[in-house]
Amino acid sequence: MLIRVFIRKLAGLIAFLLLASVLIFLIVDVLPGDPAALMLGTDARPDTLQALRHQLGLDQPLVVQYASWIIGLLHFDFGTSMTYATPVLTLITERLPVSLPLAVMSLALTAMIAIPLGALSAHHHGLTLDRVIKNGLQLALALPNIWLALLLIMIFAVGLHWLPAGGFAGWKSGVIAFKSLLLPLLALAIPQAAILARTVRAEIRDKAQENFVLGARARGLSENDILWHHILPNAMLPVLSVMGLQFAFLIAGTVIIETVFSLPGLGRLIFQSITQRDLPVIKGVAMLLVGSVILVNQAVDLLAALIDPRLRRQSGAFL
Amino acid sequence: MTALDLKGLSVTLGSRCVLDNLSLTINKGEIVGLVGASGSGKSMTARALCGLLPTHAKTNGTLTLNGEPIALHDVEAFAAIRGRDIGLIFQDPAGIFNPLMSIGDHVAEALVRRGGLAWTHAREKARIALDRAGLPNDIPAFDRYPHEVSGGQRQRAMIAAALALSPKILIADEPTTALDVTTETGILALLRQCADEDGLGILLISHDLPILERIADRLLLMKNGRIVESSTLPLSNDTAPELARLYALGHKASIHAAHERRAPLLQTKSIGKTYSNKSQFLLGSSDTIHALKNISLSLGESEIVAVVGESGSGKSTLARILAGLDRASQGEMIWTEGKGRVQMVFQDPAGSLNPRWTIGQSIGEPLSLSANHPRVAEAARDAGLDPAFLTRYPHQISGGQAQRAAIARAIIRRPDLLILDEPVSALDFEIRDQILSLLERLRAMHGIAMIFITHDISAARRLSDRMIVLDKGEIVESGITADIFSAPDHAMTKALLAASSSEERVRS
Amino acid sequence: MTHALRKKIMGGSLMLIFLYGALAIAMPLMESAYQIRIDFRLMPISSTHWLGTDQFGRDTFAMVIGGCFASLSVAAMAVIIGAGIGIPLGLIASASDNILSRSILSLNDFIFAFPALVTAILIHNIFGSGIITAGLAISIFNIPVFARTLYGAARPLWTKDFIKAARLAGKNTISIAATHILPLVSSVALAQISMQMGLGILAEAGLSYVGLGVVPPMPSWGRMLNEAQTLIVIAPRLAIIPGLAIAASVFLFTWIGDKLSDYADPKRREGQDHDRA
Repeated sequence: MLIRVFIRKLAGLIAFLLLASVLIFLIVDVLPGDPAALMLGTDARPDTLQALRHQLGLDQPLVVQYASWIIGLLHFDFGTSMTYATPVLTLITERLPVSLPLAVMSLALTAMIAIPLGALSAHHHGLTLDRVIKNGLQLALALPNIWLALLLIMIFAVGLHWLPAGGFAGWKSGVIAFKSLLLPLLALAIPQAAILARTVRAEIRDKAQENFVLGARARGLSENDILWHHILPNAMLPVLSVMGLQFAFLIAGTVIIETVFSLPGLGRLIFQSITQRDLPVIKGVAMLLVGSVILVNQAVDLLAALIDPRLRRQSGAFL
Repeated sequence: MTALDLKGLSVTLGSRCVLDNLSLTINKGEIVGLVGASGSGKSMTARALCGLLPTHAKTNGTLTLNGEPIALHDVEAFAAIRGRDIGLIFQDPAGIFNPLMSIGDHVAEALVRRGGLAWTHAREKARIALDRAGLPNDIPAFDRYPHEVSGGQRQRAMIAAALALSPKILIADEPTTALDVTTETGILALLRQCADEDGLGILLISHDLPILERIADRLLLMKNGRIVESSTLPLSNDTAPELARLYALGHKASIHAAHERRAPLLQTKSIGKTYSNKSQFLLGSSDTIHALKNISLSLGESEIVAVVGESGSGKSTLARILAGLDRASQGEMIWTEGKGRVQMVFQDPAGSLNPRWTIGQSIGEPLSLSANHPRVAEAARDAGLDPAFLTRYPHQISGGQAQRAAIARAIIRRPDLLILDEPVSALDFEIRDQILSLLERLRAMHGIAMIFITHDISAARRLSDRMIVLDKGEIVESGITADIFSAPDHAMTKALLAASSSEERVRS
Repeated sequence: MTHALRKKIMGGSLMLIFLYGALAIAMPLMESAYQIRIDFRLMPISSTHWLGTDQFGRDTFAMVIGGCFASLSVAAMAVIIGAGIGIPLGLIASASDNILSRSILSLNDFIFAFPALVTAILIHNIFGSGIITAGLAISIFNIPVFARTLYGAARPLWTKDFIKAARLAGKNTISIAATHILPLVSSVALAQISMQMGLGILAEAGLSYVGLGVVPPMPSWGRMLNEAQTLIVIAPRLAIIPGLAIAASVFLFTWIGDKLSDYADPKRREGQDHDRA
């Protein structure tokens, strides 16, 4: 059964990635009209335009253009940037050491804040502490992460001088590197943690009402055992799927927060390429972002099936 | 020897007194039956005995377990004895099991967490316990998950889990209500065996008197939070008039006489229904499941035919096909010219009414009538429902009233055929009798033919002219109800009859 | 909390939403107030400039009021398109278990992989920066959100006996959906609409901050944050004020959404009844 789920999720991964690549190709290369004209602007000379078209392979049929792009992707060849004149893959790999840790660590931090906080709130439900946490979460949920970032800069960088206001000196700088990522991490994680903590709180309270808790009590288990071995594992399933969805928000958030803190990550790269209309870079980065969200979500589904035997049967979506 | 002695138990929830001065004793090896309608306080008694009352409940009284007094409000003390001295099992809802944990681990868990055994050792013991509970190794239940085993297997596992730490007392709260009659017999025999062989004292709670009659040593009747009667078996009018009256209800014989010739209404020819296991994307494996095979039956006007069988026998599939809610894979249905209006009454009265509609709106739906149309009130009266209820919502009325409303909706368009899918099995014993009487009256008044789907043989006997026995999707026996009862032919029929007959007690 | 008080709170918040709407409509009338006037730049808070001016001499109060328009119109567009497509999709998928419904669910999972920012980056080449790009990008993400919520709420209803009874009463699937299913899931849909309005305002601020949303001279809270960033040391109020406007609006919508979903969830509603008793 489990192997079936694995194969289905793998098939889903491949199908979704293919579909995403077609969509990205269509939206970036086909729909806006002539990419070459787009890149060079309106006052370009016809012969330069023609040369660029040839260089980009735009004089070939669409299917051939798409095929050559996708075959390139399979060989980790994302094309060549127009503005930097370097392979897109190089541009991306140079920036990943900032963006990837930021995205992954912010998801981890989100869970680290949200799960204990939500559990604490559920445990004290109806009491003052629960009400304080609940209202705090409602407020934190409404905070725009950019604003939170600016407030954190005002307090911890401008005011207290504890942490840098922006920039990144590279991982070789050791502690300083961590220090420069701390504020971006907090700005990303706090609002998402508020969303997740609400789910944790609701799920724990919900599962604590379930009949299996009564069943466990009847078998003579202690409240502690019931909490750790019955309520929490069941409550974590929906929490896991919310985290899968949050990864999409955190990917987008990372790109934006990087600009706020002037971090040399994918964010800066992609916004530069938008202004420069550097289409190969836009396609490559978009494919990377979408692909990572798809990958994480299929992995989350697989993990859920690993925990919950009921999910090993097929129901609902095809893939 | 007295295992459990409860004296003067009173429980109040807020300002409401739910249990009033309740006293009972359970001896070793004895099964005490506790019967009562829903809301009479049966389940509250079970919870009080295990210290599982709601936290805001106030209790009074004394409880002595194996000679040792327990303070009824002492949550800590109960936590220590629960499972170890007193076990508890419930009506099956699958929800009583943790969906993420295997059946075997449910049994082993208490041995590990309370008994201090290692998992491997505990699992060994759990296998033995499951084997004793009627789930031997060759039935692959141990490693299965709760959603993968049948209701009967779950109930056996629950008993094994409740007895894992070998308590002296077992509280069984409606343990067979959700089960088939044949499965029910097995579970009752298992409980009897535990009482006889291990000296387990059992308090068996049910709303169904015949079940208790078959197995209990003594009976207690509960009403409004009090024990109003107690009696040893067999029952007699002198010692326990109320219990004797309820007993008579369960054995009311059919009032209509012999089978008469009727004008034909509906004929089915070799109806079959097959399901292919939902085609798996990619790794396709398609098994075909025959839910119904070669069902041919005929129904006369204003005739009542009972369709009986275990769950999974195809009863409900047949009901859906006859109602037109599902299409048959093979065969055909032939209605007599000009006939063919079908309505249906379902098992769960609450679920058969839209929670946001008034009762009147629901009753008027088949004719698109507004709730205050006189025909709606007329249909309600026909179904024995006070028209004052028409402006209420489903959650404001009782289960019996909701079922009357569902019947009113079904008869407002004067159907030719009424399909009743277990219409009384979710209802209390007394309400059940009233609804069956109502159905008899409707047939007499309006000449509506009925197909009565049930696993309750005594209800089938009382209501039906003819009976059809289904097993694994096939008709294994059919004939005039009285004939079948006097001379059952097929093994399944015999099993069903035996399981429900109160004469054959499960005593060793 | 009593029922009456709850009603008052709900009424009050609805009034506030109308106020926001009115402010958004008033935006064009105040156009002169956020003209660039270098001679008035970085004025402190005073009786003529209630919240001071920015580095281009624009009145911050007028900008905040004007920003309502971009926020609300983008969020509303995203909710109208997202709910308009997502709700029917979710209902169709819930009605049966066939190829169509499975395809809808798979499509949902797929669209979830496109955060609004990525969609905005992709369609920026077609529509440029502006309300259309931001609104569309958020709409596309809203579609599966609505579809999934409605599917989850409606799916368990279809197997209820009262639906079978309605079929036997002669109703077809569409009329059952309209008379039974939709009224029962409407409060869930309403709660989600309010929630997505809040999240839409957040997303619009993010997109405008990075330049994919509203472009000058139209005022936008996200852009205000962007422009205030360099002046964070000399004029922190320029960053604090628009952020407060965003947070307050988002809080308002998500809070109402929460109250509505409490109301929609019978389990939680029962809890309320206990409070009242």
